[in-house]
Amino acid sequence: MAEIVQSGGKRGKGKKRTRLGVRLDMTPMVDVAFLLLTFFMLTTTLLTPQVMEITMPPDSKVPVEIAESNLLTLRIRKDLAVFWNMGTEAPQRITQADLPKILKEHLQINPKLSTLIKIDRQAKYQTLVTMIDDLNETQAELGQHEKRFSLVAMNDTDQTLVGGL
Amino acid sequence: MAKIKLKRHSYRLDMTPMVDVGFLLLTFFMLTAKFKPQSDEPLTIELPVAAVDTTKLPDANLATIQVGLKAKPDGSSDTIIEYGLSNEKDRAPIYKPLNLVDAKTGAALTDAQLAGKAGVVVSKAQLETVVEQSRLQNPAMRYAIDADSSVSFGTVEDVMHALQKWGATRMNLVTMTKTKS
Repeated sequence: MAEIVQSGGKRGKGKKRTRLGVRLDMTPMVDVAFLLLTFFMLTTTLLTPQVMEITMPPDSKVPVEIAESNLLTLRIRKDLAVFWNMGTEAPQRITQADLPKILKEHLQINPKLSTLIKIDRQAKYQTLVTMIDDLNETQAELGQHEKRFSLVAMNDTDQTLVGGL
Repeated sequence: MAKIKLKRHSYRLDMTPMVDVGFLLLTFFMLTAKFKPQSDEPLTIELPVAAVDTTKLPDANLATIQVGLKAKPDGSSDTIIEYGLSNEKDRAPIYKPLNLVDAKTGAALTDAQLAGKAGVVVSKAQLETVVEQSRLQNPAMRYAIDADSSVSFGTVEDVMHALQKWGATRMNLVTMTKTKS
């Protein structure tokens, strides 16, 4: 589609070269370029996922002993009900929204507090992420950098303990 | 009476700046585009949301364990575990012990075919095999658990135990930013 427009022309008998002005119709190229642009714009994903890093202890059979007063247990039942207790106290039912408040209260008093998260195997994975997220957030607010928690599935004893509550 | 003739203006718009910007954007989107290699069973994963941790997912030396749900005709769903590797050169040696075969011909897959697989569907027993192979093959490998927010905690726990068993004690849970309301 290139058209060649002759500009000027032979005038006189001088040795002037004929100049050719080249004009290219760029419409098809621009069309294709915008088509591609639309394609790449629509297929691109700008939201990249993030990661939450957790470190688990190596698979060892050595039990870790911990003082009762330093242990906060959170239990999540199959129906996503949350229970908490200190040491060997009786578990108390709370809502998910109350959790950060309770964690903050206890972590402030006792920075050495270990959190034990016990989740029913049939509970949703989102609960686990929410628990760790709440814990991370509380510890970040309090300026505690060492994030420690244990994660186990609920056993039969836990089931009977919180099952009827 | 004389008719009033409307004068038509023929005008020419200089589109050069628009085309310039268009090409600039095109170049940007082309360069930032990432193409996902084909995996066995593309899973749609609805990521759990978290607010605090904002580390990004690394690109290289990454093993992703996808745990997703696949709907069955009767309304219930199956939990599917898919093991994916980002490094192409690691794929063939790690997938090899699974003895994968071609679905049509039944012949064993060649190394080149294995290297082209971004992810393979594995059972819980096979997961341990691939994790073990990955640990041997590339000690710098990082592990990410990319699970749907509604899979059961039990399945995720099994995956964590498989990683823990072979000493991959540092794991990453893939999450989406919570939009604060």
